[in-house]
Amino acid sequence: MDIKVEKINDIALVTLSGELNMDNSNTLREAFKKILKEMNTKVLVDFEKLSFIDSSGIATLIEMFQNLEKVKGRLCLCQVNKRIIGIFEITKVHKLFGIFENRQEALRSF
Amino acid sequence: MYQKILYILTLATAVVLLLCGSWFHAFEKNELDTLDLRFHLRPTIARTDKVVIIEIDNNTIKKIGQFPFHRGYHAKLIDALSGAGARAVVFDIFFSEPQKGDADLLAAMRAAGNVYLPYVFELAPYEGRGMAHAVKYSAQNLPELTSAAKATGYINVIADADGKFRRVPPYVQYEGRKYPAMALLLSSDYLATDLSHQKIPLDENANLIINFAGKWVDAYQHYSFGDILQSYEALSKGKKPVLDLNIFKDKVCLVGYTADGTTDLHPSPLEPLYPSIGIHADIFNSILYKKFITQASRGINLVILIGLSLLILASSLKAAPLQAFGLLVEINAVFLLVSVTFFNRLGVWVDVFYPLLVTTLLYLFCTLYRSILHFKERITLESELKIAKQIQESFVPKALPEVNEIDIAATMLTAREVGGDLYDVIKFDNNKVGIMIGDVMGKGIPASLFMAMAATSFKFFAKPEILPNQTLLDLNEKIIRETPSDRFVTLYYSLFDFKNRVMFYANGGHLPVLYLARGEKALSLDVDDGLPLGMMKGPYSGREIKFDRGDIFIYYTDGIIEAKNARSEMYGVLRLSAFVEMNRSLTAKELRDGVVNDVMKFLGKQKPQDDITLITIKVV
Repeated sequence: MDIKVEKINDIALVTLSGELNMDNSNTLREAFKKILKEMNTKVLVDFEKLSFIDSSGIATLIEMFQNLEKVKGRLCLCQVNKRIIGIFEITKVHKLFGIFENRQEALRSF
Repeated sequence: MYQKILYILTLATAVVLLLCGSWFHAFEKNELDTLDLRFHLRPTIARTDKVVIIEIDNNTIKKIGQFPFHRGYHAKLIDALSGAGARAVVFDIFFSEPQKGDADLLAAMRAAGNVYLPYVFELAPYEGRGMAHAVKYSAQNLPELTSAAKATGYINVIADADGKFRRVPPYVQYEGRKYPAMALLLSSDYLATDLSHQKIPLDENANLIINFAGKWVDAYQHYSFGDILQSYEALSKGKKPVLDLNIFKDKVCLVGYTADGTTDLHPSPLEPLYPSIGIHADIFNSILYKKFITQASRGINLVILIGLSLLILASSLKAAPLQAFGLLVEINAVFLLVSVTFFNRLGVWVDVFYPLLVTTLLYLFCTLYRSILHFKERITLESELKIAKQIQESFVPKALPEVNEIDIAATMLTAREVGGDLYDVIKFDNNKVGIMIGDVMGKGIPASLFMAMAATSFKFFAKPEILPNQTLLDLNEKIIRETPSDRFVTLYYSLFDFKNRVMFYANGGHLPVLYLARGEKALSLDVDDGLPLGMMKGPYSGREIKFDRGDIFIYYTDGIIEAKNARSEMYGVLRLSAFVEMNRSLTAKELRDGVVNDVMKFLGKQKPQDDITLITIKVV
């Protein structure tokens, strides 16, 4: 999995590609920690190039969601494929995040 | 603490020892070998044509006969050379005992007035910086010959640790006076300057390092003593000479032994036998061109060693071993290139062997150290995983209860990387049975401890009169209250009521149970609300389903549907449903084993990544 973090205005945009699983979720956790440390409260994760996520990946997202809640921030996702939406629906976490079809729409929502 | 002090002390000792190695020239012989290699690899340096070498070679001895020969021959040589207009005639030969022909020699020397004679000092052991001191003369010429010479100079050469001759003391103090070496004396006469005020780089023992101009045969012009005598005699008889003696006009003529068996041959950096007369020529040459060999001071060598060591230390501790090896080679190659260039261009000699040795050892040490550390980490991790596995396995039922109304089978295969699956089957009474399956998000000991807590708390909240959604609600609140917020567990809980043939169920973010009614396709039993437990307070909705004889329930974790084969395909819920639909006539046990085998077959040679947990239930 590859992680790219960039800043668009005051929004931290995290682009993931590949598979987010038990082996690499810690890398994402570290990236999230860095984003929080830099006092970012608006985080958008672009899932366009992410093919799969497992339970430890979901846990990482939820952790970030909770940490952002504490600082009154927001975590949104965009361009999530159907398979991952299915996984989110099983765990019901899709109700926690704002999930947007495209990046522009997501960026405007902040 | 004690261990830490010991560790620091050992490290400090090693550092001091390494630095001392540089300071006290450890591996000096190897370093001298590298110096010789530099001499070999160096492009040809400028060589003066003002010097000619006159060899008492095999040819001369053959012509004259006995050895040592009549001194009249030396007298003739002086006559021949001074007749040809030679600038100086320098003997690297002692005339210490009276012999036949001494009168001729004396007369020739007086007539020529430009003959130099050698002598040798017995040097005192060197004490610190400054000039070398002599104890006495160890070889001298006959006093009348000495007085007839233009000047006399000592020809002492200093042998290095490897027995090779590379250094000459330029001046020697003897009985309160300063004496110059033969080559310096000659140079200062030739240049008509006082060289004692000129800056000549010396080593730390105040010796001049000889800048060898090349191999004996190529370095200077060589002539045979015998040929010169023959030509001189031929000329005096009006015959045609072998040599045109005019070639010696204005030349500094160095006369010495090179014939086999003569003792004036010493090992030098460039060849095993180098006549000592060549050394005078080399020093004369380097003074003439002001090209000397300068040995870097201990301080500079130390700074280079520390710099290189820090570079290698940093790269060996950070980069991967193979990459670090590449860096070691690259850094040292650059260092060698720079030191060779300095030697070729400026004649600067910096230590290379010791820094190369130390950096290589540092690389090996760091790589070994890191391998041991890595190995230790692996051992710790593996034992940690083993503990996690044991904790996990101790919290799942060792045996399933006997229930008349349903046939139950369950299995949990823990992967090497523990995922934290859990399940439980509780027989409350003959009428009610609770079945739970879950998965802790995360791995290792923290996940398995959390799993243990969740499994124990579940037993506390699961009651026959309480519906599953309420149980999950209570359990969730306890987990939120009592555990760190970054731990979650997905949990599916169902309560079988055999009297009413109803199953109540609730789901906290887990994979929904598959339900197969007789003759029907598989159906996922899910609910509207229910996040994984431990995340936040939230609603947990419940549902119920009526069941009948032959109905099948399949509880599973993501280890099954996310099992990945070599082509990176996942087993998936569709394959699971299809397998159960095709094999619905099997017993719960057979179905359980069938699914596990099917997953393993699908995986092929791939190992399961996550725990595989499966509960199969068939209503009887």
